[in-house]
Formats: sequence, structure tokens, C-alpha cells
Amino acid sequence: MARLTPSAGSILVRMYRQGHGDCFLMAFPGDDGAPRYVLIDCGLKKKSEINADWPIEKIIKDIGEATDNHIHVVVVTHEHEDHVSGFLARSVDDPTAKAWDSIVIDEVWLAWTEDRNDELANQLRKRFEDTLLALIGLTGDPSGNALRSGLGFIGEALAFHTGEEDVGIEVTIRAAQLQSTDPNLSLREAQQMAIAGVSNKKAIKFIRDHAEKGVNFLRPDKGPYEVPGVSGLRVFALGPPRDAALLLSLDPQGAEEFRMGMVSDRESRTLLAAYEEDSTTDRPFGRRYGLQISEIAGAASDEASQFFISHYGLKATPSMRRSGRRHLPRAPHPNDWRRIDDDWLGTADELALRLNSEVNNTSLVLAFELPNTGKVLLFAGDAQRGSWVSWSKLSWRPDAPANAITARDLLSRCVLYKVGHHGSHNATLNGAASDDYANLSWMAQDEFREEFTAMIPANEPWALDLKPVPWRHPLKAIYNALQKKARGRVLQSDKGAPIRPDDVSEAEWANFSKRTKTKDHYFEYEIHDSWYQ
Amino acid sequence: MDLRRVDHRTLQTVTLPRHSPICERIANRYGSNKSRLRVPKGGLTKMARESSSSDRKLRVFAFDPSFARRLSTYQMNELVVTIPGEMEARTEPGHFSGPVGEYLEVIDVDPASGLFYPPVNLDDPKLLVGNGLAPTESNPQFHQQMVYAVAMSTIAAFEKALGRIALWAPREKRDDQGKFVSDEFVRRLRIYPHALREANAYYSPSKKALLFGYFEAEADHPSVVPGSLIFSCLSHDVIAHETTHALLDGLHPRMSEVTNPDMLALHEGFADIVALFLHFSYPQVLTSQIAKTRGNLRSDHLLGQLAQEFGLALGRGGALRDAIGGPDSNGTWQLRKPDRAALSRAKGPHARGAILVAAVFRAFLNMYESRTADLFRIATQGTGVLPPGDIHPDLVNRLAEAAAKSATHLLEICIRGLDYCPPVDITFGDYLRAIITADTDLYPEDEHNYRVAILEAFVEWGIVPHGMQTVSQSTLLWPTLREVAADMGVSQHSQELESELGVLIADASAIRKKLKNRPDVSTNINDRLDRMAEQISALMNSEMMARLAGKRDPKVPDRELSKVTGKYEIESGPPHSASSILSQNLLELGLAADREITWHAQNFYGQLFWGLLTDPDNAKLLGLLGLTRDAEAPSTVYRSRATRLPAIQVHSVRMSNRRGTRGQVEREYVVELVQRRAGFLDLTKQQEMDRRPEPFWGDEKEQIDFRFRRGCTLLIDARSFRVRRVIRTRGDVTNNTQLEQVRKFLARSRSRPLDAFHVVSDAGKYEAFAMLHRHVSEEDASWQD
Repeated sequence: MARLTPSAGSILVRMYRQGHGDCFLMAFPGDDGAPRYVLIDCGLKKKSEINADWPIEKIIKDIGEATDNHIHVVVVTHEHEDHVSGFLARSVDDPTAKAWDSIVIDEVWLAWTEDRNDELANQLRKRFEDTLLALIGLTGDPSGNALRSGLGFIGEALAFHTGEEDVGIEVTIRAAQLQSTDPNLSLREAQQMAIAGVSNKKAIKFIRDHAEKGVNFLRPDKGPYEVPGVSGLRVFALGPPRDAALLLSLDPQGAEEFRMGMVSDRESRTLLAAYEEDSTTDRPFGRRYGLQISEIAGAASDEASQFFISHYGLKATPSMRRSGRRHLPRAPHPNDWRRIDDDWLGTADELALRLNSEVNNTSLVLAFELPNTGKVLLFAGDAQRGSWVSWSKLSWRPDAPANAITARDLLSRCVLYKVGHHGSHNATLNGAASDDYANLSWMAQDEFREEFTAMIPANEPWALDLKPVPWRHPLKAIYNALQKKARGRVLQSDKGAPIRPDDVSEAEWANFSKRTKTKDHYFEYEIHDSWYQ
Repeated sequence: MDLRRVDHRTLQTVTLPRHSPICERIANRYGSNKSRLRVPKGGLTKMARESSSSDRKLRVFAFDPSFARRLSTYQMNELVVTIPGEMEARTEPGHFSGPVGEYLEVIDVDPASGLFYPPVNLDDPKLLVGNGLAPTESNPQFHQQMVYAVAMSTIAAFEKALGRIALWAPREKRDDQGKFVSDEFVRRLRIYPHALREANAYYSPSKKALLFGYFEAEADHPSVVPGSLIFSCLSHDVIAHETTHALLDGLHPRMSEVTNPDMLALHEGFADIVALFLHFSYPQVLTSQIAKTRGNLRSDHLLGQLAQEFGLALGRGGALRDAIGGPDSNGTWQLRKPDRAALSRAKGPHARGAILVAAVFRAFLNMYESRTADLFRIATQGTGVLPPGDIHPDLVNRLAEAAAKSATHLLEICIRGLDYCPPVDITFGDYLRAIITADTDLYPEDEHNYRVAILEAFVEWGIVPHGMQTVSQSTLLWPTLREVAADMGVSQHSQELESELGVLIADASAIRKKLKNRPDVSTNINDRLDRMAEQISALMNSEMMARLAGKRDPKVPDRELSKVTGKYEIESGPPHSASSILSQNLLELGLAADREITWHAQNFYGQLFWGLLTDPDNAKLLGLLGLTRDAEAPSTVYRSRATRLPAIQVHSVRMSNRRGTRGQVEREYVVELVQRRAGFLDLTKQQEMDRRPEPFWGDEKEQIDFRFRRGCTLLIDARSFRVRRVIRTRGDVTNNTQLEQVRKFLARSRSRPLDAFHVVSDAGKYEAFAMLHRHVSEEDASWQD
């Protein structure tokens, strides 16, 4: 089968069309004449395939053929299902083997947030883990009735974060098993161990273990980095920011506020505490002030119990005692419409959303700068606002201190933009060239503009069909803005080859279309490291 | 009611069944075994609200507990608020648990902890002597006391300003298919002090409840020990703010319907205004600060700083910093200069609301300064320079009093303005007109130049009605009916309408009779009116019985009570028959009435008003009110099944008693009239639907995108029946330009993304206010379709 071979002085970028998720293969001409391959992410949301004939297993086989089973750098932008699930895929020829076992990987590039020797990274992971445990606590009741319809986004976010569908229940069961084999484990320790076994973590571990020449942790305050064997090519890491405040979407107003409406860091712990057995420390009041359900049931004649039975409507039964903390009994009562048993879980929805955004912000954002023309290929991962606004403060001085390279500079030379987070809100910022934060208008100035092209990995019909709430991926406003800026040169993985807009001349369009190849399972786009006449 | 104070000439005799629980209680109470009782003839309208119970005083945190931990604010840590005795329904002596009173029920359930915190009993003699429990964070019963006390004083401020009892929004009862069945009276707003584990508190319109959260303090919180809990139900301002949301929802059913950028902002800004100025209206709050800064409020911006500090509790630090002021680069607090263009730049309800707060706050500073100028002249012998050292405590008190008075007046003016707003689609500019008109009607002479102060401040912040050629006190006044009629060249119509109104209010039975004879009015409607009158009479009778029997039985819910009392034989006929209901003016029940009866009476009169307005004889009057009965109106304008003409909804008929400067009682009726039209975001579809043969009836399954509402508010003088003010929305329901404006606004805001996954229109499952408070959006860099 055909190897992916760039002609001299040009590079090739393939966007695979596997589903809702990212998988990009780049080929650079090496110094020795042989191509060098860089793969960025390999994953998709379950059941989001664009083409039933092209499951991820076949795509990986295609990657193997295109690279002669040798990839020089594998980049994993962040730990979300739609970016990593492919790394655990089975071989299409031999279902007992792993698809990636037959492919040699030299280096693996990860964001600094994956570095276990980095203190800030460790703190972050702790926070994510806290949130995750809290959410798992909510959904992890094996009886299944904790997950009420009001919980909305939690299930989705958990699946995203772990790569598994019923992770709450899975982890709870696994933790219970761990505890039964080792009674010394606390529930939390057991849960932590159980979480380490979820799919996304396994996927990243798998690919890390495969790196024959080691793992590289990229940071925006270091670099630029190099792809071995391709001299002159510089790779800048724009994100994730080293600024925890930006990464964690903390309140920019500072510390003095009461922070109404902000889900605070400790809230995940408070929420978590509600699901830890026998945790009395996080109760708001001394034990003597509160009555438990069982106490109300046991003393139905006393005044306080009577008060709650008549105003709130409770009829405690013995079977409810065990799970009483989670589910308040509900005997029919005229005031049922005013009960608030589940309202506090609204926080959890927000937490889930926050966890999702924050992990997106840990995306490794890479700008590949071509040696001759200085053209830039920007792979934004799923970076959201917190990452974008950090870029403007960055600068690199690889050559001489006087010639600092800034993010504005890099973006202004951008000719290929891998659109952040499937084109969602907040993952491509709106703004003007004069604004002091990075945004779409910063990209592709002057001669670079004529070549500006956008790639959106998305499965729009699938996303819009999601229940109960569809995802706007891509957001219409962003799609339109990209169309306008790129003059129709927008490749979206679930759509066919782009069509020439009426206001674009045949000649201009031909310049683009002759460098674009559309196949059922990928778009291939060629970029010359030279200027056209 | 204290039976001993009743004038016996006005009594009639009723017989109670022997061995009934009520009878037994009467016997116990009065030591006799009488089954015949004499009750006031005029019924409830002449019965004063129970005034035998004394006012209740309760201790609360003046701000929130953090003030008690700081030495600089320690002195103003605690307040005692007074709740008028007649605003509480007391059941049995010695018992007032929950507290569950006439307006509120505090139910302290903490589902996240799986715990119930037993209710405080405010009538416990131990608590009565000490003005309730002492402020503390550690006892949930104090939390119950505090939310009750602050929410009640917020309600009291509303009642005082509006001159009538406060009602909560009714519960919309729906069947299994979600179809509207009926409105149900909600006597008490429910308060859950520990409902959530998050830094949030909100009003839930569907549960008619306030939900407060608690959360762990962040490590960087300035005045709280990291890891300790912060309770939103212990912040005076948060409680007042959320209670205001509930009161507004009860007052203006369509206030939370967002049809322009100002609606939610008005909700938010107004709630902040109530919280801030309720706070300033306690003189104790300001005394220590005024002493400390030697009353030099102007240079030290004490009030501005305090306002901003209050704002922190509401999570408005940022927004209020931009609007009121904040520390400059040298760390000196500076009052922000008003900016006329700020409103056009402000996005989102909180930012826009903060500008409204800033404008009202500026008016307050103006009022305070003109009120205290003389005191400073006296104190400085005209030099304007205070001698060194502390100022005289008398001066401190006078200044604090002046500040408190200004705050009280301004708060009343702001609340009163609510009655003078159009029924739907209110803008900030409308609200300015409402404030000015309401104050003019009550105080024709602007003795203290309050209106000048308000107008100046609003104009400085760029809050002016849209499209007005000149902005002055007189041009801002909403027109009278006569003015409207004269402008339209139909002066005689206004007099006809006014005389009809007089008949309606003075003798409802005449309107009833006419309705019964109208061929276009179905028997259904007439039957419903009869049922309403019967229900009111039953309620009035049961209420009277209950009052005579001493107290309402706490164990019998209100609704059952009316069933029970239906059995009583009453010697000289029931004191309130359905027909006698019609012969008295129920709207005059006033502050003394039972709230459920008032609620039913308002609905009842709403129906009668409907009868009056839909009378073919009055068709020509409707144009004056911005209403249409044109059979040729677009099909999307909802039709009435009864008349087959464009439907008119009478939202409410409320009575207000207000006391003017000369002590005269000004009484007026507030009537809100609304028409609806089916709206579609797609213009072509709208035009198609406008032309379809079958008109909309309001009950079809057809999916519509939004409801376009137009109408007017009428202010009617209760003595002369003159229509004092006609407050119309911009355009009537057939107006396509206005429809287009609403459509554009909705199209824009519905496509605005909330987060990476969802857009606004998808958020319907969330509680609107929970979202408003929970979600801090990042407006600057977001996309709009």
C-alpha cells in the first residue's frame, strides 16, 4: 500500500475521518530524504463513527501502511476519550492483538501536566481526581437510582474523562473488590486505584510504555522543540499554560469576593464528602443539631419529627435506613412539588462541565513552524479560553535575545488551523486583531492569509442527535467565521470535499483543491514550504 | 381579632355545631359552652388583622458572620429587626416553630447531609426575652431565625411601599400532559436555609422556594478561616436579594420573561437595590462608620465603599466596582464617575443591573448630601471645616438618621415604581418613568428634590427612555387616560370608560348581570364567575370562624378548613353569600384581609374587568388602552373561545393604599391587561402563520417559538374612578416592528452559547435563576450568531 511520502519542500497533513475525535498524521521530508511521521491523537467518542466501513481499527492499519509501521513522534494532546481511545484498539487482522503493537513509536510527546515529577502537575491531577471521585460517587450507586434525569451532563462528562460508559458503577464495584481483597485500603485509596484502571488512563499508559526513545513533556516556557531528523522545523508549545488560575478557570476577580455562583475548588470536596461513608467532618453542624431519617422515623411522635413529616412529607421505612443519606424517602404528600431532594446536585452538573473544560485546557497546543517560509501549522487540541488567553504572554528567544518570537507572531503566520474542540464555543476565541488576547483575527496576516485553511474534526449529525441535549459542534458562528476567513477552505471530517464559494475565483480555488485529496477515510492536504508565483 | 374590642351593634349571631372541635376550643378559651356566637355583620372587610400580638424583635447578623471576625467591623456586627405582629399568623400560644408564619415557612432540610435540623420555636419564652437566639454560625436554629427575620423585613418594606399585602406567584397546576389546569394560591414562600452545597442561593419559581447553599471557604478568602464553612443564609443581603426575586415574581407574572436585554437585568439590579437600601435603612449600620470617618462621607466615600462591600456578599464585587467605584492604583477608594455610554457596552444581566444600582446609588448620595448640608454648616459654623478629633455623637446620630431616612425613602420610591411599569417587556427607561410618575402621584410637590436627584443620576448613567425628544420630569410622566384620549381626538370615550369603571368597582353585580345577558359570553364563563364568588364567600366565612375560634388550627390545612366550616349552620343566613360578595367592594380588603381571600378577590375582579373590556359597547375604548379587538388582526394573535375576537387577559387587579405627604390616603387600583400573539423566529413562518385561516386559540399543540405580549397597566383612582395613568407597551399586539425587535433579541440570545456544549435555548431544564447565579459566562470572547 501507498506510503505517505511528501515531495521535497512540502509537507502532508492527513485528517482521518474516523468520527467525533481527533487523529492527524503529518509527514515531513527528513534530512536524509526519508519522511518523518508525526501523529497527533487517535480517538473518537463511542458510536460516533462517520463511515461504518472505516472503524478505528482499519484507520490504524492505514496509518501503519502510510508510515511503514514507524512513527517518529506521537503527540497526545490530552486525556479525553475522543483523543486517546484509538490507542487501545485491537488489530483489524488479529483481534487478539493490539493494533498498536505492530507500529514502532520513537518518541511520545505529552503536555507537562502529565509529568509526575512536576509539582504543579501533581496538584492539578489531585484536583481532577477529587472532582472525578465526587462525580463517581454521585453516579456510582449500583442500584442506579442516584442518576436521576436532572443530572444532565455528569454521565457524559464522566464518559469523556474516563472513556467508559458506566464508569461510576464500574469504579464503585472495582473499589469494593479491591477493598475486599485488602481490608486495609480506605474507600478513597481503593477508588483511586480503581480510577487508574479506566480506559483513558490505560490508553495513555499504553502509548507511553511504547515510546522506544522516551517521553517528552512539553512546556510553553521551554522549547522550541524539534522533530528528530527534520532540521529547521521548530515546534512551539503554546499550551497548556503554567498558570494554574488560567488553567482552572478560577474567578478572575480575585480572592476578596464571596464568589456567589462560582463552583469553588473545595466544593468538589464538600460534594465528595457527602458520598463518603461515615464522614461526619464535613457536616455543617455539630451532631446534636441534626436529625437523621431513621431518627425521625423512630420518633414520629416527637415535635420536630412531626414538623418534618407534615411539612416536608417523609415516611421512613427500615429499608431506607442504609441509603438514607442519598435518597430521602418519598411518600406521596401534597407538598411534594416543593421538595428539594436533588437540587443540590445542580452543582455536580457544573462540576462535570468544569472538569471537562479544565482538562481541555490541559491540551498540548502545538505550532509547527516550517523552516523556509515560516508558515505555521497550529494544532490547538481542545484548548479553551483559559489556554488561549495565556498565549499572548509567551515569547521564545531561540536565536538571539533581540529576536523574540511571540504567539502573535506565530499566529499571524498560521496557514493551517486545526480548530479547537471540534469548533465549539470558547475553543476558538472571537476578537479583533487589535485585542490583547489571542483570537481568530490574530491568525494568518498578509501573504499567509491567502493560504489559510481550517480543519475541523467533527461529526455534526451525531452531535446534534445527542440526548437529552445536543452539542453544538461546530458552533455555527465559528464555522461561518472560519468559512469567511479561509474563503471556503474549511475541511470538516464529516462533510465531503469543500465547494468553491461563489465569490472565489476558479484560479484561486484550484490552488487549494489541487493540494487537497479527499478519501472516504481521510482528507490529505499538502503545504509547500515555498511561495507560489 | 380581640372579641372584647368589637362594637356589639355590628354583630350578628351564628350558631356553631355542638361538639365540633372549633366549638370546644371556643369553650376552652372563653369558658362558656356557647354554640351561638355573634360575629361582625360586615364580615371580614371590617375585621382588622390581628393586632393583639405584639411585634417580634429578632437578632440577626448585620452583614454576614465575617464582619464579626474583623475588628474594624465588629461593632456593626449585629442588628435587631422588628417584624410587625400582624404579619405573623400565630397558631397556639408559646408555639411558633419553623418558623412557619403567615408569609414564610422555613423548612430546614439538608439533603446533601441527609439531615433535618429541628425548627426553632420563636415563641419559646426563653427566646422571647432575648430577642431570639444570639447570632452564631454554629446553631442551625439561629440560621432559621435569621432567614425568617430578614426575609420578613424585606416583605414588610414592600408592603409598606406598595400599600397592600404581598402575594406570592400562584402555583400553575398542570395535568399529565403538561397542560395548564389552574392557578393555585400559595400562602407561604418556602425557605430552605441549607439546601445546597455550593456558593449559591436562588429563588426557584417552580417550587416557590428560596434555596440557600453553604460551602467551604477558599484558602485565599480574606476574612474566613480556610476550610471553614460559609453560609449564604447568614448574609443579610443575599436573603433580601432572593426574597425580592420571589416578591417580584408574585407582583409581575411576566417580569422574568426575557424579551429585551433589560428584563433580567432589572430583576437582578432591583433585587440588589432592595438589598443595599434595606441595609442602609438601619441607622445602626452607619453609626460607627460615620463616627470613625468623622462624617466626612464625601471625601472618604464611606457609603460607596459600604455599598461595594455589601456587593461582595452578593458576588457583585466586580460589577459594582465598575459601576459604583473601587480602589484606584494607589489603593484609595474612588467613586466611579457616571458614564453615559456604559449601558450600551454592558453585556449580561449582572453588568447591566449594576448600572441600574449605580444610578440609584448616585441618587441616594445626592439625596443624602442635600439632607445633611445644613447639619455640616451648623457643625462647622459655616466654614465647612470640622475641628480635629471625634465629632459629636449627636451629629453622628443625626447623620446616620439622615442616611437611613434617605435610604428608606429611596427604597420606597423604587418599590412603588413597580406598580407603574408596563405589564410586559419593561426597559430601564420605562422604570425611570415609573419611578417618577409614582412619586409625582403620591407627592405632587417634590419637597426634598428627590425626583430631581433621581432624574439627574439616571440621565448621568445614560438610562433614559428610548426615543424621547426631551427628558424632564414632566415629559417622563405616563399620560392620563384623558390625555391619551385628547391626543387621539376621542375625549368623550375616556369619560365613558371611567363611568363604566365606577360601576364595576362600586357595584360588581351590575357587571355580572350584564355578562349573563351577553350572547357572546358562554355559560362556562358565567358559571366560573359564580363558582369564584362562592369560593370567596366560603373562604370568608371559614376565615371568620377560624378567627372567632381563636386561632387557626395548625393541624388542619387551609383548604380543609373551608370544607369543615361548610357544615356550620348559621342562624341569620350566612354572613357572606355569593350575592353579598358582589355587593361589596372586595378590593377594599386592604392590609387587614386574609391573603388567600385577597388573591381570589383579585382574580375575581380580573374576570369582571375582562367582562367590561370585552363588552361590544366598549369596543371603541380599547384603542385608547393599546388593545385590539379587531377581527381582522393577524391569525397569530390569540383569540378568545368565548368571543372569537382577539383575547384580552387581565393579569391582576390590585388595590393600593398609600399615604401622601399631607397624610391623605391615596387609594388606587392597578390593573394589568395583556394580549398575546404566537411568535416564530423564522420571519417567513411568522408571515405564513399570520395569514393562516384558523386563528390561534392558545391551546393548540402547534410548536411556537415564543409568545409576543403587549398591553397596558392602568392606575385607577379608587374614589373618582379616574384613570390616572395609562402605561402602554411600545405598540400593540399587531405591531410587527415591535414583534421583529423581540424576535431579533431572542434569536440572538438563544443562540448564545452557555458553554462548550450547550446554547441558551437548550438550558430550559435548568432553573432560570439558579443558572443566572451559577453561570458566570465569559462574554468578551464569545461568538454570537
